[in-house]
Amino acid sequence: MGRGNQNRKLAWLLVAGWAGLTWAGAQTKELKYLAAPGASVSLANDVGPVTVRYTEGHKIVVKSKANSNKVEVDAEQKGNRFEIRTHILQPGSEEEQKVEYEIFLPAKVGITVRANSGPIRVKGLRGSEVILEGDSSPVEVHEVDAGGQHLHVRTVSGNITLGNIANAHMEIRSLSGDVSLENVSGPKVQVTTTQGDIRYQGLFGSNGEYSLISHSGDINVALPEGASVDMMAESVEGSADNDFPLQRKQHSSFLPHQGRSFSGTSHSGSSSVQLSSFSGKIRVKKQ
Amino acid sequence: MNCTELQNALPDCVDGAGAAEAEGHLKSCVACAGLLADLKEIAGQARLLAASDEPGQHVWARIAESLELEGLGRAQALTPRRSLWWGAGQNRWAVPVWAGAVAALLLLAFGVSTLRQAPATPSGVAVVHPAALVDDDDMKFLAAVEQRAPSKGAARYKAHLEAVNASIRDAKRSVEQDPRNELARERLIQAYDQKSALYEMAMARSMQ
Repeated sequence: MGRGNQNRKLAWLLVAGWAGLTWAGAQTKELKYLAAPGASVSLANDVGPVTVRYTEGHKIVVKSKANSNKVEVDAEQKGNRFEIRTHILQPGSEEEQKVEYEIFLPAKVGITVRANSGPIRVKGLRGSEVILEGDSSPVEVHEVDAGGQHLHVRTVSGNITLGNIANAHMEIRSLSGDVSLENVSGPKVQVTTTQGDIRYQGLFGSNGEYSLISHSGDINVALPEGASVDMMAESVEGSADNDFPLQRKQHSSFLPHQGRSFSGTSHSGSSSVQLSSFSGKIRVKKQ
Repeated sequence: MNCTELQNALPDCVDGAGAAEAEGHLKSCVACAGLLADLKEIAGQARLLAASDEPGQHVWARIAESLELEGLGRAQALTPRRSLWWGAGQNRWAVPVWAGAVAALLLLAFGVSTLRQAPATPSGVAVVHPAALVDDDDMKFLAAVEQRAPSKGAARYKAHLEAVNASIRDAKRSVEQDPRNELARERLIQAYDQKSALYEMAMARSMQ
């Protein structure tokens, strides 16, 4: 029995020691701000994941966890603008410079995130203007009702994944990252890549204007049978294949070329869809 | 392959062992093709000189006299000594291989400095390096990014710039071929916007 007690004490000492060491290395911080509608938060972080979630009420909450004391989190409030920045105090390894952020945002509060290498994840926002910039960071945005606001995402090489987004004026750009959109609709959706592929799955709803453009990447589109679209597709040096029923337009200045371009409408053609690639393959099929 | 890379590969090209890439560049670059032709001619002439007869003593004496009259040198300095430098043998003026190499090197140095001091282009016209697809303005921008943040990978941005410039070139061609093509015009606008976005992101990263 005595030996058992000794072992338990040793185990607790080890746990306490580990917790102490962990606390000494990592530095956590929590900031809270009262925000009126129209407020905005901007965050700049070089290394580390950034997660932004919706929260009820009027409080902005920013939680941060720095891996070492070689970095610190600077925060400043300027009226209704909140600026948060990772400040590097001393040079260090990527692991030492890593800061993880978790931001909770009420409705109609805008967010701008610049994170170079660390995934950016946004979920559940309502009525917020969202600007996300990741150099090599992958960016994921899900379940957002933008309420007519702007959603701008751009990366150099990070992949971009968007799902269940409604009522947004969207401008999505990547140089070499792939862009994937599922159930994304807005008054306007503009997706541009230079080398990355673009994949769209959904209705192209809301009487919107949709433009998917790539220079050398492929464009793959899957539509349900009920999609109401007015579609135009062209690949200059690649191929354009359509497997979705489209009615040829009576009056159109766009001349289709077998295997390279096509156009047509489905149902009332309420949403305009342009698919354009210079040398990539364009494929449209029924979902 | 660009001009700098070709110059590094010149010794192989002079010997006729140049790679296919070098041949491709030589077909499109008049300056480098001319430089290689000159080097080959010098190397060829050097081989011919090695087989010729050594000039007589009276020839050197006449040259020395002329130089002295012009105040350019002492007569004695030109009297050839029988040393290894002139090669073996008393009756033959065997020009060593490295004399031709020295001449080739001098010409190479001249050629390189000529290429580097190419006349300035008219203002407003950026110099485009065909193989790299980045112009002088792009190079200045990359240098600024590298200077601000040496560890942030300006070389990576260069690769993306090349891809973006290629997309602008292709989109321009499409519009030129069919100015009424709405999709072509939109591709061109977006290609320029991509370049602008890349500049902004690279600069923001370097300033962070």
